[in-house]
Amino acid sequence: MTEAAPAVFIAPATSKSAALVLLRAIVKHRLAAIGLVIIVLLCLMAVFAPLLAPYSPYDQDLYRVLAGPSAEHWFGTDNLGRDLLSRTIYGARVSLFVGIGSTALSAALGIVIGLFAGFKGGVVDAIIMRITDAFLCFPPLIFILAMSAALGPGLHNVMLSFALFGWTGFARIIRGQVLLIRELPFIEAARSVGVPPLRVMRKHILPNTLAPIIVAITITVGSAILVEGGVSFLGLGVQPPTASWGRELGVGFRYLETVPLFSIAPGLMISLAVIAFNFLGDGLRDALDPRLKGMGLRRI
Amino acid sequence: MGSYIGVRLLHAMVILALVTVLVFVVTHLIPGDAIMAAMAGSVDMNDAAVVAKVRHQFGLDRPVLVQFVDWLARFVRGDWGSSIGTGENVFDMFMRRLPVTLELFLGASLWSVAIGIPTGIVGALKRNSSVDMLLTAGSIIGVSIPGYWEAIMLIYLLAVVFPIVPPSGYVPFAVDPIMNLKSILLPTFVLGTHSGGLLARYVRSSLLEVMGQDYIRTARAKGLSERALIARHAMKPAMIPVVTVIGLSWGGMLAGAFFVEVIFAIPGLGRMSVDAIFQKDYPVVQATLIAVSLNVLLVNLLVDILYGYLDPRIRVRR
Repeated sequence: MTEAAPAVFIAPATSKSAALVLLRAIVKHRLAAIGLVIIVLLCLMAVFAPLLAPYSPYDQDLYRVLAGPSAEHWFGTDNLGRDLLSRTIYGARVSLFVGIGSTALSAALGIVIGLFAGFKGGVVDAIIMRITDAFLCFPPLIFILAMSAALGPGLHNVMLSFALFGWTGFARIIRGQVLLIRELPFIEAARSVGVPPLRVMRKHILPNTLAPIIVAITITVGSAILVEGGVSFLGLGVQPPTASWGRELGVGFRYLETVPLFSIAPGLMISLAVIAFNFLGDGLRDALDPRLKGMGLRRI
Repeated sequence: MGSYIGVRLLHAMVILALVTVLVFVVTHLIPGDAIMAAMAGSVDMNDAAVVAKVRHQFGLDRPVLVQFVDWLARFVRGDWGSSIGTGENVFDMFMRRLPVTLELFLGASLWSVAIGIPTGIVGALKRNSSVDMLLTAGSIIGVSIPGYWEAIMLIYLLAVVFPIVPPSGYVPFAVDPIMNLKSILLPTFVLGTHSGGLLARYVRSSLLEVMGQDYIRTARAKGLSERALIARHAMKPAMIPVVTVIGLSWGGMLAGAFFVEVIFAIPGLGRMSVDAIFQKDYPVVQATLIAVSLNVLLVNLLVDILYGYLDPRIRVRR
């Protein structure tokens, strides 16, 4: 697979001042700032859902099924008479949980595999990279759908399926970074004074690969939210009665002509969340690596 | 060059072999035997003798490795098995739906080029201006917005509120060309916005990179107008990575087609795959997965060879 030679990032985002520099760069990059604000708001919405929502997301008002917006129900009600606004607010929990959970699993797996491949080099590296290439041949969504169907519906299976395919991107980034960094003088210095390989990896190489990983994590959370929405939309993800934007949209679509808000609200929330993470990722990329300024997003 | 192509081909073969293993493993993950699951309604699952007979009939009692080799050997010869749901030949099913999906992809690629290239060029020319920021925001939104929601919103707007196009359904081109174009207008647009946004980002960065080259400065120094400069000197080299994006976007488009074909009720490969996944019709799922990955693999191979041909440095790098 063809790719541009990756740049060496020198931005250990571990110290306090580095985090401050990063935050300043985000604020300056207007799109990233917008993204960050939306993400913070969504997180607050997920955490404080019980305080914000006017009703429980499960309470049914069977006298008011598929009602339009009113003073009691601002967004109207769904096909089971549940308050749409409340369900939209609670939906943030599922999306963020799956988005962050899937990404954490993918990143953990990818970082370990990528570090190992890059550090070992030779045959091990070649084998791991061919396996990665094989995984990258599939549009992940198709495989995640097939896996979710195979493993049975449910949030955990969606996250597991996502991680099983999401690790490849992280592994490639890390491996590329390791290949570049391990040739640098400070690694040679560490080795020559007898620092054991595992410690070199953990203490000297890993921290220097953080910058591109932070960017990848941000964008992957967006992708995972998009995928969870899609899988739930088709009915394979979150199971009723849990409030999930994707599932809501899948049901709401059937009532498009009578209760359009049933489709508009959940879809808008998924879009907002994905856009926010991509805005932030784009800004972080610009801030952390000037060489990649304006590059495209990772395809999922 | 010959040895370079040889190495790339070898890589592609290794990857293809891994892909077939992966597809086989994933489709055999289905709890219980796939066929038994699919036939649960029609045979008595409590009767051990009947179950054993069915398992034997489909060769499920053989070792997994034997099943894999047998499946692969038949797949290569074009024997893709028959659908568990309908009993139809999978190869025939696939070929019948392929033209529909190809038409969608072609239309979507047209949309994405029409949206992506001008957006990218303007963004690069007005870099770091507010116009650039708006276009960047637009491109990212195009990439981020879920196709399944975009499709539903467009149906609501252009078929329910302002009835301009049919809300769903597909009319073959041979039956009624005008209705055909009307019926694929929205689906292709939805598929095209995603890759269009991606394309815009790549065109912008690729053009910016080319514009920084020495020969562009030379051309500018000899008094060439900005317009002629871009048209004659900058566009062509900037288009190389763009061709890759267009090629690779077809893999992603199939994922989009899953939703678009379901929402717009279009009888293509995406809808077939979704139905197959739901019915655990694994011969159909396997065929789709392999076809998709083969497509991506071939595009990658072509791109690698093309790059090696265009840029001698790549040939010797590995």
